[in-house]
Amino acid sequence: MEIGRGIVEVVATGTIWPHFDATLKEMAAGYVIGAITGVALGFLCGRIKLLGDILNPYITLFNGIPKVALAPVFVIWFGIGLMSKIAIILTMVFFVVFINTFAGLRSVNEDYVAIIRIMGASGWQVVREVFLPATLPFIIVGLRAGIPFSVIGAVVGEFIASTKGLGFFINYNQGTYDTNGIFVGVTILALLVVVLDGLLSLLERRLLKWRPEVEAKSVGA
Amino acid sequence: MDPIIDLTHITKTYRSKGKSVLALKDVTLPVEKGSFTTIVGPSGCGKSTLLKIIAGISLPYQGRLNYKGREITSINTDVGFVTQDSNLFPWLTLIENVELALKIRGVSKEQRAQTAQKLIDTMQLTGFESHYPFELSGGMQKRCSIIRTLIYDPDIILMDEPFGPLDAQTRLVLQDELLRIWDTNKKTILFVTHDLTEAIALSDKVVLFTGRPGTVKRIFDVPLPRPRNVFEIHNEKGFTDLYHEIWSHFKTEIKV
Repeated sequence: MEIGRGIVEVVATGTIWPHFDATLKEMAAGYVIGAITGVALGFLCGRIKLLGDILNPYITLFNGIPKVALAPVFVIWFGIGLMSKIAIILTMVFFVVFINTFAGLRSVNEDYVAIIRIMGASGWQVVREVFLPATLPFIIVGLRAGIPFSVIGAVVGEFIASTKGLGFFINYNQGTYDTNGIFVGVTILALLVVVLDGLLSLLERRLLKWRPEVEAKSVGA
Repeated sequence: MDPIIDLTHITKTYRSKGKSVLALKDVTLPVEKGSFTTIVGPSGCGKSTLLKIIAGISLPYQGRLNYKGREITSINTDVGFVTQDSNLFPWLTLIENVELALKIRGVSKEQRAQTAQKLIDTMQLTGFESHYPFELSGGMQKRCSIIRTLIYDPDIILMDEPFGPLDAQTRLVLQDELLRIWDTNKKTILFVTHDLTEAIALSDKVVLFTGRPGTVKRIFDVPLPRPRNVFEIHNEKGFTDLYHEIWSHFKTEIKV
C-alpha cells in the first residue's frame, strides 16, 4: 500500500520522470543496437561457415565473462553519462541475441533447403523463403531474453556511477535509508519489464501464428 | 527411343564419421519416358542416394547420368522431388506451400493462386487453403507435398518412400490418386520403396537393388493390366507369382 502511495507521489510530483526517462533512453538505445548487431552477425556467422567457425571461439570466450563485471570498465571508458550504460546493455543484449540467432540458423532443416533449391530458388530466395522464417522463432526468443538483460545492465551501470536513472533512484534511496523509495523504484522497473515483454509476446504471437500451440499443463490439475 | 534418364555405371562414395562409405556401385539403369519405375531394396542400399544424385543434391558422383540429354552437374531444377516426410514449410499456409514454386519462378500472385486452387481441388483439399501444416492430417500434408511439385509441371517426378509414414488406408488412397495423376499428366515417375506390394501395384518395372553397396540386381517387368486396382491388387491374376518371384531374390539381400 505504501509502495502504491509512493508510486503515485513520485509520478504526481514528477520526480520520477527524469530517472525513468534516462533509464528508458539507455535501454532503448542499448537494446536496439545490441539486437540489430546480434541478429546481423548471428545471421552472417550462421550462413558463412568459415566466418562462424572463426568467430565462434571468441564469442564463446567473451560470453563467458559476466558483463556486469565489465561494467566498471565501461564506466571508465565512457564516463558516467548515458553512454556507459548503453555500452553495457548493448553488450549483454548482443550476446544473447547473437547466440540464439546463430543456433536457430544452424538448426534449419536441410531438406527445406534442398526442396526449395530444386524448385529453382536463387541464393537470395533461399534466404528469404527458408532461412529467415525458419530462424525467426529463435530470434524472438533472443529478443525476449534481451529485455531483462537490458534492465539489469541499466541498473548495474547506474549503481556504479550515474547522476540519474531508476537504478540511481534506487541507490539514492538506499543511501537515505528510504526503503519505501527503494521498492517504488523496483516496482516501476518490474512494471517496465512486464510491459515490454508483453509487447514482444504480442509480436511473437502475430509473427509465429503458424506454430502449433503447446498445451501448458497446470500443476495439480 | 532414348531413355529420358540414362544412368551408366553410377558410383557414389561419401564420408561418414571419418570413414569412406561406398553407397552405390556401378548402377546402370535406363528409365523410359512416361514410365512408372520403382526401386526396391533393403535399408541402406543407396536407393535414396540415387534419387538425390538425379536431383543434383548429391554431388559429386562417378559414372554418367544422362538426364533428358544432358549431364547433371548441379541442382536439377527440372525434376519434382517428393521426400518421405512431407516437409511442408510450417510458416506457410496450404495454398502458399502449393504455389511456392511458382512464386520462385516469378509468376504473378493471381495466376499462381488460380493454378494452386485447381490442384487443391483435384486432391480433395478444398476448404483448407488457409490452414497451416500443423493443422493438417498426415495424408493431407502428403497430398500437399505432391501437388507443390506438380505445380511447376516437371516431366519427371522422383519420390522417396513418400507413403512410408502413412497409415495403411491412407496409403492405398494416395497410391490410387498418384496413379490417376500419372496417367492424366503422362509423367515419368521414379519411385523408391521398401514395400514390394506397393512396388508391384504401381509400376511398369520393379528394379531390385542389392544391399550396400547398392547396385541393380535385377529388373522385373510388371505385366499386370492397367488401370490398376490398388485396393484389390492381391486378387489380380499374376500378382502373387510375381511377388514370390521378386521376393525370392529380395530376401537374400536382407541381412538377418
